[in-house]
Amino acid sequence: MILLNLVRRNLALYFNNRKRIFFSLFGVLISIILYFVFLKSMIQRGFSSIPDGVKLLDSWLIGGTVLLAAITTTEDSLYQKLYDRDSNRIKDLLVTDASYAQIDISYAISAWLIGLIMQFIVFVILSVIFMESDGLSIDISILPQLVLGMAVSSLVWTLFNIIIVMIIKSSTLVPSISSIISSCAGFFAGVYMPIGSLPTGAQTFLNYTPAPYGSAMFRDVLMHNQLQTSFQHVNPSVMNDFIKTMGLKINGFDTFNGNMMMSLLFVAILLVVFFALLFINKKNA
Amino acid sequence: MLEVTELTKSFGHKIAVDHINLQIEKGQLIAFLGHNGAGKSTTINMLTGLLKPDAGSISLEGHQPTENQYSHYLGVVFQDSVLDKQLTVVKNLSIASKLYRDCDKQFCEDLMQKFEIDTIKNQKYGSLSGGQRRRVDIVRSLLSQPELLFLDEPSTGLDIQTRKKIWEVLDQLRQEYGLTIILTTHYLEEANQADWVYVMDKGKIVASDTVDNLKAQYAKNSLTLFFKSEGLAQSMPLRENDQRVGKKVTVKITSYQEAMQTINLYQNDINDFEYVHGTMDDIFIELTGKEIK
Repeated sequence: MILLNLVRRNLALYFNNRKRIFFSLFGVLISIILYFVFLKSMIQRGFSSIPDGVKLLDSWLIGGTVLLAAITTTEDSLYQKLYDRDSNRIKDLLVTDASYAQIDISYAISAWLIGLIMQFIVFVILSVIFMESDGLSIDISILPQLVLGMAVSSLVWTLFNIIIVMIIKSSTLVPSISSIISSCAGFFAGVYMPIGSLPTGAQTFLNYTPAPYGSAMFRDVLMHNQLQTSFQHVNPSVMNDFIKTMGLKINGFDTFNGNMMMSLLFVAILLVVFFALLFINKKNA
Repeated sequence: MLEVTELTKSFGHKIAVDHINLQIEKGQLIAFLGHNGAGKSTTINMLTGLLKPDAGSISLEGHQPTENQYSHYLGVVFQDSVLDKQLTVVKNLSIASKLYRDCDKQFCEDLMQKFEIDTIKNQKYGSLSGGQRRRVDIVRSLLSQPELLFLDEPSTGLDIQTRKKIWEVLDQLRQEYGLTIILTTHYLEEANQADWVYVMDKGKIVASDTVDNLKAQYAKNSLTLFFKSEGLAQSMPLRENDQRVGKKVTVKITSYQEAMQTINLYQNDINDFEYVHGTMDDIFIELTGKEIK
């Protein structure tokens, strides 16, 4: 009950603050603007021969942008811990029956929930926009798989951002760290430009980060049917080329399950880093 | 009720709290006086369980700060308003009340009425005035019906009406259920109503007594005589700390008998006199010195 109530507080603090919601989705907004301003027409020119290529690109953007939402909203939610600590709010929470561990766990659960909810909201908004503008249709049967993907992404980025919060320790660094993460996330998730158009060195580096696997996971679910339709009368090498360039195949993984496994592997790695940091912090306390 | 023995805390080489002992009985109003950096906040932080002491023991109704039940016995009003500014008053109080395992809803509603919170309960905490926030802070601190309430500089920046209201309700709660209050304050006159005063300086308790005893010991009353001429004023012998300005002479007096004797002695030479009792300010300066620390 106490834990539930702490989570309720964190959710209320996020969802009652429109300015905070807006800025936590700033990266998402930039990706959408970039897409409409030049990315869409630029990529479309390269694949002009593909039937319904625009629908493929719309789904491609939704996949990457949903992952971007997971990164930035979990990050913003977890900064609550720093705000509470620096404003002494934490003291008032600690003189209740709530323990330090419960308060910490509540930040993690809230971040995970906020990440999940905001990914879904971004997905719905973008789907409606593209339904209206390009006649994109989303098959409802993919929803369970999509929500599962969102849950896993939210978990990966909650853990990642918990580690960031453990390292930065002060809310004064939030604006700078937030802008660094927000701008890097767009490239890492392959939203600001297709991963295949990056230099080979950068692509190899990205293989060791969780972001491209997350966006590939969503893109596989969202684009699977349209890919089969659009490329049915085209040479398979063209489709392979498209999949690789657009970041649907990372490090040899080109299915939802494969990318999901990679995301879960990152969960395990992040957990190890988290416990190591916890141990170091306790030792230095 | 609260027993503190040899409590000590250092930060690096600086000793913030130096072997202090406290014995506080149920229902008392205790004032902690001390200039900035005297060790008041560090002591309060240790007593509330927020800071671990280096040495010494704290026992509140037999419970130590490391025990889960400890926080249930206490309420804290922090110096800065620390509730969530983006949430409404009622949401803040509702969340806080559910952070306790058993919270009496009726008691919470009574508190809101007593502190006149009802009319502002749907406003955002961040939009409230300083006085309104402080009333909400106190209601929040009392939600768990604590035995012991810590008030850290509760009246800073508040108007006289809010101060009066706050003390009126707190006194009522002391009478109704024997609430014990530990107060730190810069408004020395606020400490006048305390049952017991601890004066802290450089991490140590330099005086501990009732207000009356402290006044008797440290705050001398003063008698000002307004002489008919400067020559007559000059004829009066002065002791250390006495002052003469033109026809006016101010002397420190230890008892009212001494005052009457002095007035009788000079009754033909003076036009008027003024007798002023020693204040908490005098006690404070006497004990902690005049210099800014």
